[in-house]
Amino acid sequence: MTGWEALQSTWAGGSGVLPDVRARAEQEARRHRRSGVSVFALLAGASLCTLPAFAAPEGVVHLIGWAMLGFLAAMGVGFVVIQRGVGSPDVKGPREAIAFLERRLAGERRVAHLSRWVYLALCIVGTVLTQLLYVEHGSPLSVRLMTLACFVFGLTVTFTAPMWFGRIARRRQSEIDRWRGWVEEQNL
Amino acid sequence: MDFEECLRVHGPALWRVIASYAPVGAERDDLAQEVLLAVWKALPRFRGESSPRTFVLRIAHNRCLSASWQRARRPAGSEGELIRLPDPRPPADEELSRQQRTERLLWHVRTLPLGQRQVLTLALEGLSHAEIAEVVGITPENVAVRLGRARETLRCSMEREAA
Repeated sequence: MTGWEALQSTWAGGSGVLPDVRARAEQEARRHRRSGVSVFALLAGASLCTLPAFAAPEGVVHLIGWAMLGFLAAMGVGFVVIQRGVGSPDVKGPREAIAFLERRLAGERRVAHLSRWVYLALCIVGTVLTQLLYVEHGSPLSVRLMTLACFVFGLTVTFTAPMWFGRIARRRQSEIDRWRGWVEEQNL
Repeated sequence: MDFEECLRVHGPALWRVIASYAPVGAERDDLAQEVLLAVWKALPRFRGESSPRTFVLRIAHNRCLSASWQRARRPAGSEGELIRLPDPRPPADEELSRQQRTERLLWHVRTLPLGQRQVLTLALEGLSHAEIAEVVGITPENVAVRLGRARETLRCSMEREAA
């Protein structure tokens, strides 16, 4: 093997991982489609689970059923509006892909805010109605407190959702900012 | 030409071109990102007037050159490559050894002047003088001259290191 051939052989051995921008955008587009399907499957499943409440003899249980349906409807409508705002997952070019990634991140942030306020309403209504039901049934204090604790826990998680989502999204935002910077810098 | 197909076929060559301009680390990642964005953006304009390989390598070299110029305009002190020569000791693992040999070669290539580096990397990719001339935008005769000088400079650099 000549010196040049040896060099070529060493050279050809060099390979590494390339950061594929489009693959990243397409992965996010697939997640976007999947999230739509899974949220609606979840909402449909939860709606079906509330149906037995309407067969109960107590009026308060009916109200809890309606409250649940109202909550699911609010989440569903809110989610549709946000998904429409995100728009189509178009990854034809770098600018479109980056714009989609930005819209998607903003959409997820809005979903976190939607959860915060819709869950707040659900937790308030749910707490009042379940306590009324317990009074009607004369349930022990421990059961009342347990239910209350569950609502408080749920509220804590959902009310702080925008905050912890913000922390999680920081890395993605900086990744998008870097891409945006490159595209602008190189005038692509 | 599809972007995925392009990456599958020309990805390793693109990586080597990028590595010949930027040392391993964040700088290489940044440059790779820039080059891939540029290739993705440019692919729809590919009309088949040249070979796909020539087309892709031309974009990569142009982007890498722009990056080199931008880096050269940066204030002194941000360039730390000259003291980061890969370890010359042979490692136990064969794969690691191969990678180290490539990184060492890449290090030597990165020390060449830009004009020589361009023709040398393309020649190492197996492009003919005419193809290199097309990518770089010079005559095939000029390619031969630059390539001769590049090989000589590379040989000297490697000999100096061995000594």
